[in-house]
Amino acid sequence: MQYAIETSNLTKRYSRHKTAVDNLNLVVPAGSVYVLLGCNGAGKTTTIRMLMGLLRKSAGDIAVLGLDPDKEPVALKRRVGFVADNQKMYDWMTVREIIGFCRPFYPTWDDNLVSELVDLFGLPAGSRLRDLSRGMYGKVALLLGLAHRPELLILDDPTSGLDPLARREFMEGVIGVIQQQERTVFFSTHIVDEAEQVADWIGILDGGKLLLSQALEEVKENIKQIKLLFDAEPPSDIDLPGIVKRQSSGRELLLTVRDYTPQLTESLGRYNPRSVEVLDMCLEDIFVSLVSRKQVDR
Amino acid sequence: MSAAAIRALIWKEWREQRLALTLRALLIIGWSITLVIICGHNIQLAGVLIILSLTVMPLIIAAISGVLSFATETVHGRWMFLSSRALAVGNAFGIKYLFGFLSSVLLCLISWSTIITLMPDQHIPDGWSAYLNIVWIGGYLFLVAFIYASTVMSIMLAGRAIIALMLAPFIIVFTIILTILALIAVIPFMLSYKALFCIYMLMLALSLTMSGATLWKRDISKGSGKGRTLLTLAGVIIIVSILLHTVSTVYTSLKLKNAVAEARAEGLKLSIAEIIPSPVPEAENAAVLYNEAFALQSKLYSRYKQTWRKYHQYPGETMPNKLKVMQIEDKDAIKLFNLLEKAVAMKKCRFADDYWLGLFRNDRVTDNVWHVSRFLGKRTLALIEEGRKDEALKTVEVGLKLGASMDNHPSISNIYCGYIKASICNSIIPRHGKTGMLSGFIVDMDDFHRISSIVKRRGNDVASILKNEIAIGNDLCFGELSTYIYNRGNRLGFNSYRLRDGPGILMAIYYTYPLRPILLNDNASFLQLGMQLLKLSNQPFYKARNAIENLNEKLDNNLHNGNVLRCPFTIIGGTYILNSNIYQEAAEYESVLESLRVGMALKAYRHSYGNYPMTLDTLTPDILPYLPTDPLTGESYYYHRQDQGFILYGLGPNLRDERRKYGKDNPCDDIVWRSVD
Repeated sequence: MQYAIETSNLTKRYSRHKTAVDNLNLVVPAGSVYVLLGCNGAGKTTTIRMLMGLLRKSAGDIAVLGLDPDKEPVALKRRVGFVADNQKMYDWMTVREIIGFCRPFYPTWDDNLVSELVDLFGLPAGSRLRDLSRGMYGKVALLLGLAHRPELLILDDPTSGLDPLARREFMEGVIGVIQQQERTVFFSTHIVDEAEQVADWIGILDGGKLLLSQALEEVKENIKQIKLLFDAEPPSDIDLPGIVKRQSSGRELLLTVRDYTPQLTESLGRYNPRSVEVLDMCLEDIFVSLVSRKQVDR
Repeated sequence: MSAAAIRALIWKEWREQRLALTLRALLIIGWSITLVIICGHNIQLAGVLIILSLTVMPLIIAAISGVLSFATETVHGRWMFLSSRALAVGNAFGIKYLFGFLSSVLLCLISWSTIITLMPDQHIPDGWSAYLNIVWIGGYLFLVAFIYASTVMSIMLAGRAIIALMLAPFIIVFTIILTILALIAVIPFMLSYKALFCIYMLMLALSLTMSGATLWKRDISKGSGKGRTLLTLAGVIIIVSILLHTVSTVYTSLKLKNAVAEARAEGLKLSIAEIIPSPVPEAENAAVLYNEAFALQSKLYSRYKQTWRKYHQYPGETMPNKLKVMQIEDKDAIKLFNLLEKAVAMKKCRFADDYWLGLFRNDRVTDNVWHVSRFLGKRTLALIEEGRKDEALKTVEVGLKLGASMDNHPSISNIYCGYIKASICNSIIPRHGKTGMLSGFIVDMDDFHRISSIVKRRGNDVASILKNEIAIGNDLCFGELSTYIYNRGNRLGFNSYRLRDGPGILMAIYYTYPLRPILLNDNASFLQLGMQLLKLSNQPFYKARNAIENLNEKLDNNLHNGNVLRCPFTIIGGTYILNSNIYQEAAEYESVLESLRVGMALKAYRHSYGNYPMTLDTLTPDILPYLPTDPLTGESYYYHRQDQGFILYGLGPNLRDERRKYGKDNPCDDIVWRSVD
């Protein structure tokens, strides 16, 4: 499989006691829409800035479209579209001006695509950026990330700070674009709904470590909840591989497991439950279970 | 980066900074106009304010706005947008830097031209201009450039906005310190321009050190690989250079100290205080009156400029009435003459201001003496034409006294090299020339009195004698001979024209800290060679000629061996004097003076006897007590009668008789005086 992004043992330490990204081994398959989920402060932005060459890594290796961002930043940025977290642009420019300003930096700039996107996003070309709504502002940033037909689009939490309406407006734009063109999209967010709307692949980052990185279907297939009902107090010594979370309430025990297989249900039989029920989980539940387990472990 | 990308970045900078730039320009113009208004007629205040407005104000504004511009870009996170585009971030910041730098230069020019346009002429004397040029170009541009550069460097290397914020207060504080030091240096005239430059360089060093520290902290100490090796190597080179500089400064200081001790033992004066006596009280200082007189002369000249120039181009023609008015009737002319009369009667004269900034101003004294002498000459002629003989004679006397009072005045720079130069020059020239006077007016008081007494004895018409013979400001002095003398005088190193403008700036840089070892070594070597020259100068030139040539050869070898650095700095520094063969120049100069003396005696003879003599011997002892010999050859001058006039000539420095072909289109170096009859 071709990877658009590949990191090995990527680490960023701000100080001896503060490690933002810790031995990250991330692979993003080419052509996929990869969503990196994580709470605030999980290390998403740090990771993306290192991928873009905007922040120097402390250790490890990065290959983005086969290029090292520290060594070939300009070549890389020509092939990558980027929208930063809470992107600030030159607010005094009009939409038309900022497009004209960015155009000379890219040999592959596509004016037709720009006009299409301006129409698609409904952007007022003559308005100054400071007069645009937050959603529109984000769309301008997205347009500027797309106009040179990048092979890889990196969006760093692009909807943070947007109200639900603006977020929906922006996401519609993103989805529209993704559907239109085939390219790798690497998207970080802390909003699970957004991820679920667009993702092929999911990565969950917490405390600078990657907890999970799988195709969305596989995630849903592999992570399940098993509801056990006992006659008496549930046994406390249930120990099976892949249990990520355990919740008990009265005679009921709810186990969240990753790498679920039917054999797992069978092996629970030795604890004599009255009933065993396997439940599907939504992405949000999966995210919360994984992240909270991590927090318990810590 | 493509041209279109560069255009886009420049466009962005212009759009971002145009308002600030306009406001800065308005502020500068407003400030300049205000200072022109408030300084009134106070030249000193005007000077201080000019320095403030040319150096300090734009500097503070540029530093603050430069920092703000970078800080805005970085703190507001826009740099993230810019740096995520497909362009090298260094290029983007580079253009920002260039834009800021060039706009600051533009502001300086605006300030400069506003002041030049609005300030009354007399408030911007040439000396000040030259001084300011150096402060402005050398100091200001370096500083602004480096403050900008180090800001950019730090931000780029650190890659974080916080560094820009950390730097901002430093830069502002440094600028304020610089301001205070600059004012301390300039206002009370306690420190010389040299000290000011040292301060500039110090600030520069601090600014760069700051950048270096940032670099080390952010990149070298944590980085790895080739970059780290290179940066570490650069650091080592800088440290080693500083150590070497210190060692060589100490070494050359000691060398100079020994050379100075030897020179002092020979009786050489090596400081301004020794060369020029300590300041005299204003009431006793003729320079106060001279300065006033110079200003009046300048006023008169501006008023009658056209007539004045025209008259000089056609010697012998009748003086226009307007010019007579200028010399005799104009109230400023009367005041000027009274001032000069009073000034020449005083014993003490020191042009304190001019010597203080001597490097740039001393030639003004020379020029001004020259100009007032011209005034006196013209006045004399005008009075004669009007038949006011007694007044004419009185005017001549003032002129001669003025010339005599300027004899040997050390027209020198106030820099150490200048002291040495002046001291050696002044030690050599009086031994061989009757006068080392620089104004271009060479009249020996003895000659004047002798000629006067002959005239009186013979009962001839004093007015006609004066009109035709006496050298103050008349045709005799403005003929080719006087130009020749004047040019020769310049070449002796008395006039510092060549130190102004471009080379002057180099010189100013030369005397700053980084080049100290070169300066010290240069001075020491020069002093050692100068002492040898001084010893030789005890002999007449024609006897010492061979030894001097050997010395010059030695100097040449020294230059080649690196004992004295062969570079523009040296040429404008002390070695120029030796290289240009000062003793030979002095002898040439003297040769010209002596021929002039003979020539004047010839004219006096004709007035007594109606004709020029057949041989020069006839002049002694009646007119001249002895017949001067040409110091270049040790022999008499060549003399022939020619029609009604005569031709008198010496062989000149090449010692070849070029058959008196001296002229504009002829490169022959014979020293020739044709009679103007």
